[in-house]
Amino acid sequence: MAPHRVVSFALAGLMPLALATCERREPAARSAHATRAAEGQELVVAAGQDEFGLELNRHRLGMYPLNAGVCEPLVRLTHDFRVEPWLAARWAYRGDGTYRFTLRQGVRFHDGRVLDAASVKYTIDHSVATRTQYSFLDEHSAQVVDDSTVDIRPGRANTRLLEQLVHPTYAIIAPGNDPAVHPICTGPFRFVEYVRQDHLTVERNESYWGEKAKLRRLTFRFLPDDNTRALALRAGDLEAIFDVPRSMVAGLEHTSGITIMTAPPGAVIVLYIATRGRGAHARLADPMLRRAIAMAIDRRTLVEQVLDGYGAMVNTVNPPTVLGQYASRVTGVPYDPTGAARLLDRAGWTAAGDQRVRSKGGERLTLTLIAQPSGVDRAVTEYVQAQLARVGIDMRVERLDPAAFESRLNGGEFDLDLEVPNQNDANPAFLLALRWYSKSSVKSTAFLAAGPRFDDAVEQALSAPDHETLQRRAADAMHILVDEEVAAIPLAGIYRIYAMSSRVHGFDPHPSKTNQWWSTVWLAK
Amino acid sequence: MAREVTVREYLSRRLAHLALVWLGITILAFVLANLAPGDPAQMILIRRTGEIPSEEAIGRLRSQLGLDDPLPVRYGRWLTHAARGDFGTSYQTGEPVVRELSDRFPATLELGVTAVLLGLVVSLPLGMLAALRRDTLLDHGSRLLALAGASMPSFWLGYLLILLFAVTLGLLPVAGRGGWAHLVLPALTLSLGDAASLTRLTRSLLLEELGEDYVRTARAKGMPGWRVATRHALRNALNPIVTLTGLRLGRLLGQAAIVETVFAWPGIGRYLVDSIYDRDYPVIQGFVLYMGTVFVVLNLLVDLAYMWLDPRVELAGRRVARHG
Repeated sequence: MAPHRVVSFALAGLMPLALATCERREPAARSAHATRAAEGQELVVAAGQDEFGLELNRHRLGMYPLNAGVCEPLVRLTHDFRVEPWLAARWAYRGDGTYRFTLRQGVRFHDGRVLDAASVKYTIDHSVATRTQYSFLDEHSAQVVDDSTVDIRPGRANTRLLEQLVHPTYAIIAPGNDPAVHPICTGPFRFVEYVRQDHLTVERNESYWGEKAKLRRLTFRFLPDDNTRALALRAGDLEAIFDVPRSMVAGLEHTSGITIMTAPPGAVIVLYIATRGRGAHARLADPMLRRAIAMAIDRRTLVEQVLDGYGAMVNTVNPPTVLGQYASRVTGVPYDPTGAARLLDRAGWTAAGDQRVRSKGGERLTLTLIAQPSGVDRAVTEYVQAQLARVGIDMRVERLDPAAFESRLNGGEFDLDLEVPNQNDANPAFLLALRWYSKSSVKSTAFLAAGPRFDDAVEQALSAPDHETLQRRAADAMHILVDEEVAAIPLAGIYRIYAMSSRVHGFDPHPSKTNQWWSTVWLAK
Repeated sequence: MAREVTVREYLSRRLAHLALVWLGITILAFVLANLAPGDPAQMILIRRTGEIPSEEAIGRLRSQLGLDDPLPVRYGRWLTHAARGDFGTSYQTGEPVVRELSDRFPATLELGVTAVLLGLVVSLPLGMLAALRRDTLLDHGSRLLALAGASMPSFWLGYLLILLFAVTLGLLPVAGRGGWAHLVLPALTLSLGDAASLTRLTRSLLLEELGEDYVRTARAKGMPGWRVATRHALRNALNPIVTLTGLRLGRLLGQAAIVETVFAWPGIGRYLVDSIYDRDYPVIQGFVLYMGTVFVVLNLLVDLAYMWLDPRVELAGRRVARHG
């Protein structure tokens, strides 16, 4: 063996020892920053990569995808994915696609101006001009009725507007304000500074209309590397990190002064199935094969062992809470590897003698799964691969960069696709209509569509007159998708994991990261 | 005897070569970027909205960006603009590529130059000491260090340095760009691997020189060993070291992506990686051209440094007249 290889192995062996040694020590640097932070109520949080540099996100500085609490929407997303009044005190659906919002009184922007209907119209028009809206809004959508009343009517029928307006992209900005430069809004924090790829700082809005933020200052530092974020927390350079990889939880948990917190599932690991695949990827058009795959995967073990308990058994492709009481209508396909093997036999895929992979007419049962490394971690794909191997299905995993992934997905060059869609608004039908509805404008739907019965159910949901009916109809559509057609297999709801200094109090993790609120957070001395 | 060429003649010839190399780089950059699977229009829309775009939206944007034109047409258009110093606009940020690169390049250059200097400061004395104290504990220690440096992936070394100097000792910040303290760990991470090989190179070159007659003569005249090594032997051993150092700077600038990610250093490397993921063609093409130019210029500077270091040196097969 070459000398440098020997040294490599030796050093690799020393790594755990080095980490363990360092873990036992109390960081010297921590105390100084910690004391300053606690006294001044200054919280430093590590965010991931800075995405405000992207062209359109520039117009949503401090709002989306990182929500710093500078701006607020008309209606807010609760932890159970319902809509609650916020800058709008109340609303009414007027029947012709129009929602009428009555604004809360006494709300002022950071520059002292009063929130009025003109501000809402300016915000909607701005979102149209900057192409940040996704609800069929146009320049005629917002109409001022009087100072505190505004009508919003999408250019195309969209009865789900209310559920979508909770998204931070619709947060209200002051008339004439360019949020790309210095957002002026109504939130509990006011914008201080943004340094590209480095940090975003906000401070308490002393004239906030509601309960004032407890922190005096809040800084988000952009640290793209997972390990660096964890090390910075341990070094005391900051007080909180989010999106902690599961593999790091154990190490952080055993570090004194650090607490792990989790948010309820706001995203679900979903196995998308090419029900309408073509050529070499047409096998999963067979519903028996799809059901056999679903039956072959032990989702409980996935949650308990692979996800180390940082996930939840779910049967829905959205977090179940978004469907309210109707979530139970979706039952999921029960784990039954023996039944899966029988189904495969019936479908003509058999394993002769000591063959480990089934075949039919001399063709091996090999499927291709595509995934993005940033989306789903390797352990999950390997687990699914191993589970399918046990019933004689050979699954090849291709982990692709984002552009190659999208290219393969939209070209139909896959059998299975593993993704983790996030739920960031209150509309339970949004994902269904986007990914499996045959009339969706999204190209990959041509390969994923779940059939005419599902389409009908989605159309029913999208035109529901109220939220409860929406939940019920969305649950019915999801039942067809998951239980009957098996066009998608929800594998697990995943917890968003936060690691915090134990001095951080009042943090209430929201299942939707983009709707996280910071005003209740404070630092103990 | 070969005709002497002047420095001016030599430079003119090299610059003519440079133009050809540039042209080759532009073709390579353009073809490589465009052959990779993935649609930039789709990625732009995904990045902009966070949603999966419709086929119509993708088609419209492709047409706007001129991505439906044949490759040679697009190359011609890009080259015409590039010749005027316009490398296009980043698909992702909407900013001119030249501005994006020049905003980030100083940070990467700062890191790269510091890493090279740090590497020289460490490796030259260590290599000399190893040569002068051959087969001693010091020599063996430097060999072990060199092996360790060459074997360690830079991201792993970065984490270890953070663990030691930031987490355990609390002496330096973990990440970010600020004062000199922020520079130490990323520069050290970037420099150690190459410093190790430079240490070994210095040692072996110096040992070779120390065996020469002129060294024996100098010693016989009573000149101290360290003085012989620094004044005479090291100077004669410098040419390969200068070559390696010049190339190292170019390589470090190109390889900084990992270290920049680990240390959240706002340089060009991390930006390039994101641009590749998103098929941001103008940025990829601009970067390859940019780095190709840096390499070519560094090579030229290295060649010129030879003349200064060794008057006997011949460039382009001919002896250079330094007075030219």
